[in-house]
Amino acid sequence: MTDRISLTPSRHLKKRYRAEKRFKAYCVGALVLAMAFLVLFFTDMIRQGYSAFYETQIRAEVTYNEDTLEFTMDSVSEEVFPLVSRAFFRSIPRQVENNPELMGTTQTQWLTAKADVDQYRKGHSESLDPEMKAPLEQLQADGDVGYGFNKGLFFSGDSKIPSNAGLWSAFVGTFYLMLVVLAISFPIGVATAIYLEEFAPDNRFTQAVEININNLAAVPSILFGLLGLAIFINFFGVPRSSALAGGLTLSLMTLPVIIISTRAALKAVPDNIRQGAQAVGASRWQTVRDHVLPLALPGILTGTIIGIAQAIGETAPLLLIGMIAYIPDAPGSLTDAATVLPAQIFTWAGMPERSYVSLTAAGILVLLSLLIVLNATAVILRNRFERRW
Amino acid sequence: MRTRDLTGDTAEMVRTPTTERPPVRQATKMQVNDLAVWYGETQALHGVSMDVLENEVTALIGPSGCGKSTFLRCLNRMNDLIQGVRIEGEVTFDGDNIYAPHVDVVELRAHIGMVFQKPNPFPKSIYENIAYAPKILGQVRKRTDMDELVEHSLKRAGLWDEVKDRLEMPGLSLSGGQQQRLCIARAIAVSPSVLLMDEPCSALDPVATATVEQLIDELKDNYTIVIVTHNLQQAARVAGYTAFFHLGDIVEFSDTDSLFTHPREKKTEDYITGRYG
Amino acid sequence: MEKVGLEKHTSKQFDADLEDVRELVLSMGGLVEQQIADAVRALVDGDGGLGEDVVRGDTEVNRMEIEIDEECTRILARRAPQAGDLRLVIAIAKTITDLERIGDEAEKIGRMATHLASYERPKSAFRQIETLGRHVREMVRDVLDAFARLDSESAVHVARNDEEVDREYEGIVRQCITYMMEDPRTIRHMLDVLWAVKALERIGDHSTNIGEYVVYFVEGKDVRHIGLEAMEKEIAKSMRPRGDASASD
Repeated sequence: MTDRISLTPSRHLKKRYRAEKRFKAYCVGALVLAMAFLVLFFTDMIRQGYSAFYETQIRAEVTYNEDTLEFTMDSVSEEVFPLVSRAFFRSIPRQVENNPELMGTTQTQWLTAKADVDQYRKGHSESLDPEMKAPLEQLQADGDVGYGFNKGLFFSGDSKIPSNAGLWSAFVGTFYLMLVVLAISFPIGVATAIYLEEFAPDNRFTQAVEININNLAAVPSILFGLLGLAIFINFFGVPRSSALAGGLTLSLMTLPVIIISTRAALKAVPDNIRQGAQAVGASRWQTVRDHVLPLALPGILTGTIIGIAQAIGETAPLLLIGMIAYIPDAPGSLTDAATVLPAQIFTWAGMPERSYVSLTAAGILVLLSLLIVLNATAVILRNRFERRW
Repeated sequence: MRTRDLTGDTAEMVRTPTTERPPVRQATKMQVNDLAVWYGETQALHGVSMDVLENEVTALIGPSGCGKSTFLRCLNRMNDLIQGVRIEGEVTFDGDNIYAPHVDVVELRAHIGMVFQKPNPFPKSIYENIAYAPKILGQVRKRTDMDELVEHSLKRAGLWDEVKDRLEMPGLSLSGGQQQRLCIARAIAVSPSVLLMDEPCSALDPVATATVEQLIDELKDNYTIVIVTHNLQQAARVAGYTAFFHLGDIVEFSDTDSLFTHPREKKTEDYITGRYG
Repeated sequence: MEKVGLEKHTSKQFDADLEDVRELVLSMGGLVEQQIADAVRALVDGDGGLGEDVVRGDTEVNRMEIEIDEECTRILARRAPQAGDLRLVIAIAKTITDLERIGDEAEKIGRMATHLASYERPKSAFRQIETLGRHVREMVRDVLDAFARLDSESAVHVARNDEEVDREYEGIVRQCITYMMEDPRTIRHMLDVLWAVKALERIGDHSTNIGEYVVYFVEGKDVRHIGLEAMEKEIAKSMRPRGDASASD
């Protein structure tokens, strides 16, 4: 008699199924844990930062005339004056300069409140100076106090007045930095990668170069700061704190990333494309230019964007070249002192006033959004141009 | 009438007077003398010699690693691209040694086209695929001439009717067989006189294979074709002459009819009858 | 053309090869048919010269057999035909064997005709031979037609005709026996006549065989050795459900 084949699972098979289930559970657990951390981080940031996107505003009549131009505190009524941010009074001469018709008129405007008032209203601080509390309650009763979008967060530079502090100068600094990094590391990185991948013979020297490039990508970023300080600032005399100095330093950091990703993208182009081109009589350079590069471009761009995103988020090397500083005005050129978003966040995080806590969180949210946009662009580029060979 | 009898075999001529025809001996297009190839330390070809006849399909068959692809790639110096390769011997093309120092490889490849195992159209439009090589080689400059050349090449490759309304579509949007015919059209656009084909049908389904084979049959009137194939039947179907490679040597080279009906060598017989190894 | 196996292949060369070999078979058939006609005429008319021509003509038939054979081998080796194509090549390879035999039989008749050229012949017996010869030739022609038109029905019809031929053969044999009994001096000649008549009868059998190959090629059915009725039933079976024979590949 031959044994009948049984199709019900044996004990051994059941054990294997159990092991499989366990393994799956571990993986799901790890995923859930990672997600939980992420969610925790984001909710915390949003909880802390959301209030920085709006501000307390006070409706008041503002008088523009010769006197108030000189003694700006007289432009509003005495009750309102203690509640309004000092930054507003400083800006009166500029307002008139921009719009001379204001002279001799009285405008009803929503004015940014002092940080103390703002924090009190948002419930971040328990007490308020009685000098301010009384008129505030009066104005609230009249309906002259409200919330408005905090334009200053995006459109003004750093300030020691918390209600006036914004990210503008950091934005501009970041933009300049990106330009410098892109202009330097993209062409150099891509050219290096093309040479190594398409032209260089495979010998000891190129192998050594390759290993060093890979190692460079793993060097702690603070060392690049030291390098930048030593070479660009001390040796070449690039102005300290400038976007140029920062960009050059970060280029050093981005280069290996771009080289490695470009090489990977070039490697991914199938050899038969090269052979096909060469078989119809294309030279090596024509082959690379007309066939290999177009195919590798999405990969190269993705790597570049990721490299730049990394550079944008970098703080440590900038510490050493003086980009972490109080820079209230947006830089006008590459050589002006500049700061960048993460440096601004770092600066704010060290400020004692209560309002800077939410500003810091808001800055982080803005920086994260920017990075997400950049990475999403990279992903979209990759998906859009990815070809099946 | 019957297919032409290329052997000039006198015995057969006596037996078949009705199909009488003077034994056709074509001119030799390429001549390989004592070709030896090393990849680093390993020798891939052991001094082989062979004549490639003009306007004829010559098939190279043999087990994997027998050197047939290496041999093919020596005919248009594609092996030059491989690192650590060493080539000795002589390959003549219309009497000139293509390994002579004055020969320019880029120029050579414009005369000896190649079609690869996997269809590899450029990731560009169908039109661009054909126009690319004539453009970079400076053969065609005017747009109207180029249009004509593209149409001519596609017609010759038997693809024109299928793609004439979508020349701007990417070449990769075509089916496998169409892609391979596009690659053939691309190769003949620069008017080479020799076409090398490295297993051109191995990635294609039987229907596409039949179409490509039919195309090869039509092309042989104007081109000299050398084809490497793993498919013995394909060699039998398309080739006038067949060479059997084994371990870097040519074991037997003769007209396809004789090779497939009464091979001279035992090794050949074993291979084509499936008794190999 | 209609019916099986002649739809175009992707490979035009393959089409040409198959067409060539089919044409060769038909011209070999034509030659054989002519040989039979000449042989019978030589026998009936006592034309010794024509008989010798027939004997010589057989070398051409043999040569064609070899040529077609080689062509079939070549097609098998180079094209590895399948299904209908395969059956066609196999059917051809067998058909030419039978055609060659028919040629041999005609040669035999031709040789007998030469022997009997000087013999004073009884008219009636030879008239019957002429009729038998005509019938046999018609069988050969019909079966070649069936081959050309891929018509399995007329191929079966040929088999039916063979029964008639066999009856006629029996009649002639009986008549010859009568002559021999009447006049023993005729025995030597009558034996020659019998050989010739037997050869004609064999030609009928070979034609029937070819008819069976046609059925095999067209229908894909082996109808040998099953008897006429069974054969006709088979054909009818395959004709009815399909209606269109082109689907029978």
